[in-house]
Amino acid sequence: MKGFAHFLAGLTTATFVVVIANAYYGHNLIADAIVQNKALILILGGIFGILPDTIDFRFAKYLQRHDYEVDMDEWDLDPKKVVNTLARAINQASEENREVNVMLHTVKISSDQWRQYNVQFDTENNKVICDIGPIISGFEKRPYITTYLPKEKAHAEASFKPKLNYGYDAVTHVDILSGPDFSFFPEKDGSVRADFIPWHRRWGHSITMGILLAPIGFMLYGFTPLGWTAFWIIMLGYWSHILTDHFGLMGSNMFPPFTTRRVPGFKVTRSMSPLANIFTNYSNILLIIFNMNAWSKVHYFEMPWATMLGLSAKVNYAEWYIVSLLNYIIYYILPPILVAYFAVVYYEKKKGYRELTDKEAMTKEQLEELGGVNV
Amino acid sequence: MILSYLLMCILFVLLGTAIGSLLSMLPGLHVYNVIGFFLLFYFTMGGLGMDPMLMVLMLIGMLVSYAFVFTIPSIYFSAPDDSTMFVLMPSQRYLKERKGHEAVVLIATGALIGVMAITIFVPIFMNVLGVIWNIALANMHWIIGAVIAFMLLSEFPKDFGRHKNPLHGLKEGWKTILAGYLTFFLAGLLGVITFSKTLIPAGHAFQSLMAPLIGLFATSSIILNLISKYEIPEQNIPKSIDAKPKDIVHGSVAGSIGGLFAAFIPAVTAGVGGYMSSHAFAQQGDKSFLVSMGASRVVYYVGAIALFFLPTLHLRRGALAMGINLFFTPETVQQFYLVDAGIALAGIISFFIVIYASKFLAKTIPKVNPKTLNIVVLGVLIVLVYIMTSWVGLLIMSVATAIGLVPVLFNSRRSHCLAVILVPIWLNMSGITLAPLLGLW
Repeated sequence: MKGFAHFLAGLTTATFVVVIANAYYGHNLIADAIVQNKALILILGGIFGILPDTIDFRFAKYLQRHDYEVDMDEWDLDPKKVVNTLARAINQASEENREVNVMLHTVKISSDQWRQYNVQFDTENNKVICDIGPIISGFEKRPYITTYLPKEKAHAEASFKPKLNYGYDAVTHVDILSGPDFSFFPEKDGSVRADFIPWHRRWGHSITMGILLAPIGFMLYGFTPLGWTAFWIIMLGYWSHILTDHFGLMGSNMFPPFTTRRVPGFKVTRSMSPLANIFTNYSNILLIIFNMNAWSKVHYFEMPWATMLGLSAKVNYAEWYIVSLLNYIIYYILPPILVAYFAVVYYEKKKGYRELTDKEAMTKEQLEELGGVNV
Repeated sequence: MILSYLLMCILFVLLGTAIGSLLSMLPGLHVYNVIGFFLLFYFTMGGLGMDPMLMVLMLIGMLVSYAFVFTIPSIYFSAPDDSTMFVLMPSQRYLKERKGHEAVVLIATGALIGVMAITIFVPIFMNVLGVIWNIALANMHWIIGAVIAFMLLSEFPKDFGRHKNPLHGLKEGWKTILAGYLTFFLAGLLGVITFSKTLIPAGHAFQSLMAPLIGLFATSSIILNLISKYEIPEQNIPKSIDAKPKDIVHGSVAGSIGGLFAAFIPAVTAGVGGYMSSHAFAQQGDKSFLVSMGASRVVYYVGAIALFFLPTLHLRRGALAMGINLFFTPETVQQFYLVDAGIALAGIISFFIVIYASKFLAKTIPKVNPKTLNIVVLGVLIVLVYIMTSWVGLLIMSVATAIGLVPVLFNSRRSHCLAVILVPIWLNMSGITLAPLLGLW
């Protein structure tokens, strides 16, 4: 998901924590601290919701060391250099039984022009393939059609010996900003595992990290009800990021240091899919509004189902809250999402759009992650 | 309402649109500064003996036309040099690619859709907006705090990945981020000082933000233009614009929602709202972005006025609403619909003004020396700031200009300069008082 969706998911999680903490401690304690004493505890949800990407893109990225760097320029375009380096790294990982990292730098031509090249791992035939593409312009990546190289100069292949596991089977486009890197890990069965941008969605995107960061809540508010609330907001806000990312394809490494590889995502959507982001944000904004209303002393709107069942916030808060929330989701959150979803599906069908294959979706997601997940 | 009164209303909307369009062509000049000047004149002359509603409609005409016509100077008169191409806004990239007019048409289309959204949807969702406002009001301190946190956490390094070692990488990557934080801190400090202790003459206190804002955004841009080596290339004027309906719809919906968020939440501006909504809608592509820019600006500026007249809200957002509130209190639904109609009329006329002005400029701009133009505008701004805020204002403007140059020179986000408004308002709403610590009280 885009950074905003993560931030909002963290805030939404925080509002749910506040509702629960409020009910647990009673006397509207936490809500009063927020509304009357102007506590800023909720912001922690947003901050820790976006933090995993901040950690990865602001820190982890720079801590990654590379054994090889492929750095071509426009006057020295050589696809063989790319495939040979990658094949050598795969072989080395297997032979020396250690992790080998390769960085593929972008080819910058001018302030707004870049030479694109693509890398693909053919795991069935044990080959790395590289194709030099056209010069492209800026963030829109418009190709200059006269800049393609002749096929014999643009294409190269190289073989590697060990079996390669590349679960994230995508064509990697190297074009603008900073290029991608790959890690090759030797596996116990003699094969080599390839990881795309290995510093991303590892320890920074883990359940473990959420647990480690949660005590910051006590550092901010002590072992008070607010401190405990902050503890849960930080931990669940952090986890909300991991969960929303997991609906994509790449997945995350959930429990480092106990686990060392990413668990593949649920493959429900791509992380940068506009529809997925819009629906997530729409739901989150509406849920935040609902929760703010729920902890407010004056309820500015009441849901009819709770009224029909004779439930009251003052007498049976939990039942009132759950029934109202269910009613709210069914009345206001689901219908617009379903209508928009079916409208888009109908439009795309009419226009003859086809669904992306897994490989295409992964390629697209990879590009989006590389293009700066939050830039 | 008699016909002659309606005609007078239309006349004043047209007058405001004409004045606003002319003045908005000048780069760096903000309509709020001009409106401040008009209000000063209006009050000095004892209201000119005219119906206040007519003055309101004229000011609204000025505001709507500004929200449209500002596109012209922002695209044609501010083309930075190639070294900044990497961080250029799509509109500036379009100018460099001889497609300045195309960018204007896309932005104006977004703006027109934004006006339609305001005039149609604000009345429809009148009650919903009222409920949301009531709920959000008590939580505004953390909502604004969250906006600030997002602004600070969502800027990512803009390096090219070539590093000697991790430390060198961190240094390169964090250069832009730290410059952004420095800008935010300094602009926030300037804002706290400006809000806590107005240094400019008491009679002009309502213009206390003029000097900081002109310094942060206008004069710093002009100085960049003056020191940059650039030429404006010959521009193409295509007969039609190649944009998919999907881009237009996506951009205008994202922009309108971002603009409405900015109009609704204190201290949040169109830039911040638009940026957040572009994330929220996962916008991709320059065309969609340009359309959203237009929609977001219009909905922010004009939406604020619509919310001020909205019977269920009467929200005072933005300098125009506050200025109008000095001599006029909205009371009736009729007034709201009159304002709504005025907005629609001014919007449609402004749309055509922008298109024709852009066609004219696209032909003539390569013949104009942009540096001369920038020097003239700088002179106008200095004179204006001096008249409105005295030499103290000029001093504040100089400080703000220096702050405004930091993000420009380090390629970080200029929106950090908005801390000048965001920080003091957020501190105020959170009950945090910094002024005594700074010796301002």
